[in-house]
Amino acid sequence: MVEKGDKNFSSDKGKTASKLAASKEESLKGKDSAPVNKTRHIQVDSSDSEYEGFVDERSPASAKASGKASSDLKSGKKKVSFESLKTGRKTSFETPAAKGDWGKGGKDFNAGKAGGKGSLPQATAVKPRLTEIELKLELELPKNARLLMDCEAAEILQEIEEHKTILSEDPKVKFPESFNKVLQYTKFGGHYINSQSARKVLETLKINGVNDGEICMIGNICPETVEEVYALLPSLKANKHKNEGPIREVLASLAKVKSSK
Amino acid sequence: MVFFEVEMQWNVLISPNELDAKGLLLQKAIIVHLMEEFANRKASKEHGYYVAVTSLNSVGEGKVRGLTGDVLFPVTFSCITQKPAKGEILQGSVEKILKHGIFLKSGPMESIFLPEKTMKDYRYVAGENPVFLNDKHSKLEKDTIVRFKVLGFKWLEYDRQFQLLATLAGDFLGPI
Repeated sequence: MVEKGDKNFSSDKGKTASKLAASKEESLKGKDSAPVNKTRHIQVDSSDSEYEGFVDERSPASAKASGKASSDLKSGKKKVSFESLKTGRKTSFETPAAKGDWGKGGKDFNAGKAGGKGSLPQATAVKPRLTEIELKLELELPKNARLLMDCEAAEILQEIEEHKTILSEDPKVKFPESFNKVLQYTKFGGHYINSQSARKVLETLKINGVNDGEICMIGNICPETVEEVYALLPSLKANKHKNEGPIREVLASLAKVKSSK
Repeated sequence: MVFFEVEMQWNVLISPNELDAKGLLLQKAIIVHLMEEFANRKASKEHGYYVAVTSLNSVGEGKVRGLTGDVLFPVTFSCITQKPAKGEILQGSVEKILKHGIFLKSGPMESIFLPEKTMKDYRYVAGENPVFLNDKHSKLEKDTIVRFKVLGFKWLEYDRQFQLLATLAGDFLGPI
């Protein structure tokens, strides 16, 4: 849908939309957008429309792809980048209009250039997102909820699965589609002989300031080395001096309760 | 994958013909209704994907609906749900390869996008079956199992599902 809008954009509105889309890409990609622009210069027309199509696909919510819809999406994404995008759009809007080179320069070039210009301040805002190696585990636990590791969920589901044949005889009994998918997922995630022993081992990390979410992650990942733990759960690095020893011990004990497959 | 074991309170509407024998049959009817609700609702923003009902904890006083004769029971029950979390490590299989990234599937989460920009040194290689290759000839193709990190997620009310953005930036991430 975006493609269409862009192809016949003779109106100012269409222009803004494309600028928006362009800067949106940038916002998604972060500062690495420079090489994107380069490739776009080379393959002028097709790459643009393809790109738009891709953006479209990534967020079907903005399928309407009017300027408004995409700005809505952005505002949902991040306030800061939205603000900078706003200014970005303004500049990009004015630049080609004033110079009048929009028609002869080709839309791609312009869109890329203007978008890049506009998003300069925004690139810095998005920068932290690219170093997402440091991305921390953010967990919101709903009320009355308890965290389960893959293996624990797997055991419960397995039990239900065993009764499923009898249950399925009753046509009224429906299983949510997630059930089978999760069961399948947990099957290849099942690392341990039984979940209780794994849980018992991992619980010992609690006194060392490792939170429930992190414990759950370690259990799910079933890492082999301490380096792997720190690489995947960067939040643990802050207390490295304190938790490195205990984690090492826990990994050793976990290895003992691993299933042999 | 992050699972929750949650206790919830819902109201269940039981039709009169399921009420004939009190006791276990009523409980069965309630559980069947809950499972049906799970199948219909699929997921919620707060709890994530509904996976299974594990136990029925209590059934409150039923209220009879005047017109239909249905009885509305407030019930509390435990269930398992699965919700994506930012920063968690997941495994997924490659669904579709595009120039700008890869679509992955992981358990109930079916729309996970891994943009090319977050794939470190992997480069798109076009062809009949496009793949992503890196310098060490590690390959991402259809059905490859990938370990990735969740960069962010969004609840889509219309589709009643979550949309995820993944990344491979970091050690120990990639095809396994």
